[in-house]
Amino acid sequence: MGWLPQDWRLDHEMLIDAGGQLQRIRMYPYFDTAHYLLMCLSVRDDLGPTGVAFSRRHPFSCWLSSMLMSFAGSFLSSFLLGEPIISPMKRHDDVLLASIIWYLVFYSPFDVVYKLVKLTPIRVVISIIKEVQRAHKISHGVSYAARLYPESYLVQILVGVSKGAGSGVVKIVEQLVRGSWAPNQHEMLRPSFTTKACVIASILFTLERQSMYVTAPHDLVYLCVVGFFAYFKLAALLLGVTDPLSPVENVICAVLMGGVFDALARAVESTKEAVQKKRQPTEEEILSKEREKELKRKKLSAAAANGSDKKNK
Amino acid sequence: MHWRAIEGHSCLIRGPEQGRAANLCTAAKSVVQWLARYPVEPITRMIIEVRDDLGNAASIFSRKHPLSCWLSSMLMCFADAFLANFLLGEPVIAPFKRHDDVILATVVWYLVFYAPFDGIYKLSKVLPVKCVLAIMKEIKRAYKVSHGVSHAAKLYPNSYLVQVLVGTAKGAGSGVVRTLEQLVRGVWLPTHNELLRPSFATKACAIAATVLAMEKSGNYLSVPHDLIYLVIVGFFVYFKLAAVVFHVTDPFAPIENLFCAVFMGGIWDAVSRALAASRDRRAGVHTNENGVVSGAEKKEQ
Repeated sequence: MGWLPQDWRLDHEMLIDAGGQLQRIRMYPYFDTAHYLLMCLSVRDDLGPTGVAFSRRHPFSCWLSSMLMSFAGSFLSSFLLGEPIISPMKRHDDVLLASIIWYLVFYSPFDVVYKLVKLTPIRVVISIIKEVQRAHKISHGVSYAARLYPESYLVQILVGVSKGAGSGVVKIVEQLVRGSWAPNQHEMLRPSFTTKACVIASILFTLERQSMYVTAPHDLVYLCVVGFFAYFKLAALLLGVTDPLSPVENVICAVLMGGVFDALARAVESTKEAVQKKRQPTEEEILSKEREKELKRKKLSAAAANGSDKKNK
Repeated sequence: MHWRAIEGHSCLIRGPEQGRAANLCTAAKSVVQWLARYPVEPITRMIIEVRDDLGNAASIFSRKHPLSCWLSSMLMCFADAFLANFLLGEPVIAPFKRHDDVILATVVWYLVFYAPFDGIYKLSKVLPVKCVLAIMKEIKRAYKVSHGVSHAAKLYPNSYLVQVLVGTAKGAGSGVVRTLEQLVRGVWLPTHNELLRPSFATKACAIAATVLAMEKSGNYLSVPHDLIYLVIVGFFVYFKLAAVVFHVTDPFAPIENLFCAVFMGGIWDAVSRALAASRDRRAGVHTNENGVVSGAEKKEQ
């Protein structure tokens, strides 16, 4: 460790200090810029190859959907808390900044800004800045909800999640503003890793706020959450890890959400059939039957998915 | 006005001649309200409705999308509160405030969708159990309607329409929220919503809310509140039992059809058809049965 300066130590105090400083950073110009950039980018990517043509033909709808996505967390949480939904539009600076970013992303000469943001190094930097802002918003949301409903943890968690990952839910409305409607693709059906991470972070903040189970200082918790977000964002961007939680989830679903009991029911059914045939089934028979049933179920589910698609078209 | 003032402890203050009836009413009311405080049955009913709505794909869907399944069940369980809060501009999230309710609803949801061998779901489909659940739910519904009307009356004492609407939303909010709930499940069927084809429950809630609002305003109904409450509960339970046991889907249908035929265009359409037919006859054109169509054709020519 000779190459490190002597006064660089990684101890508890320093971590807490760093967390405190991270918390006191003002979000307004730079961190919000990163957020707005990524949101406008997501709107443009969602529009696909028709993005440029759409922005030329329907600038207002394009602007409105960008604003909706940029302030999605605030819109959703104020809707849930029964506050004026329009209140995020109250602060001129934010709306102006978001509008400027929107203009640059969609109408900059030679698409410079869009192409720049698409470059991996720049994208990584912006994404990490955005994760810092996300952690800030979640912490803010949880503490705000805790002031309104000090006793109800579920509300605090939900408001924290909606602040941090509201864009997934607001996306349905945003698509409607752009004139497209895809109700079978939304966040509730297939929650992204960001949403799950936001759930974890807000649970952590809520527990910490009640200070019964998490006894670490707030600054340290905050730093950990920021690190968690940044780490998994980096993993997603650089290594293509889309969902680190899916193994855990699959196990839980297999055990609790019907997997075990379905297997039991299948076993009972097959033994019943065997008893009706008045002979013991061999193991191979049971296995092959189960395989057949699995195939049938897959076919059924595929048919169901197709049916719902057709309905929605 | 008299009865409203003493609503809570009515049987203590009322005259002796009304004492016995009032006692009966109050006892019934207390039983009903005791039942209403334990919302296991209504919640079970709601979640079973969600599951029925999913149809054959229910078990697969609940395995593949547990979060969406849970959220849609919760939306349906607390639909009335969501809708009423949305209408009154109160926090939409407020129903999630009470932990007991949410935990209870979650437990029931889990049992209905993931119970071993589908025991709970199959049990709830047995007729006697179904009847009991339905009756419990109707009692809870009456409680909610009355609660909604009195809440709205506190906020807007002079606007009867708001009271009726909030009462109806509290009692039959699930029909309207269903569109949203289907959206959460990734299904979008705007042509099937409650407002297009109001169910009997919605109409009954509207009637009950109207009666309660009239009683609140105090000028038109001079019957004790407890009696009205009991009558409403009886009305709900009676028609629900008729629906469950005898499959009477909509007792209002004949009245409605008559009303629509008379006032909602029926008469004027007939008159205009007759006029068109007579005009055709005068013009020497062959009259056919569909006089309107031939008139339109003539215009086009």
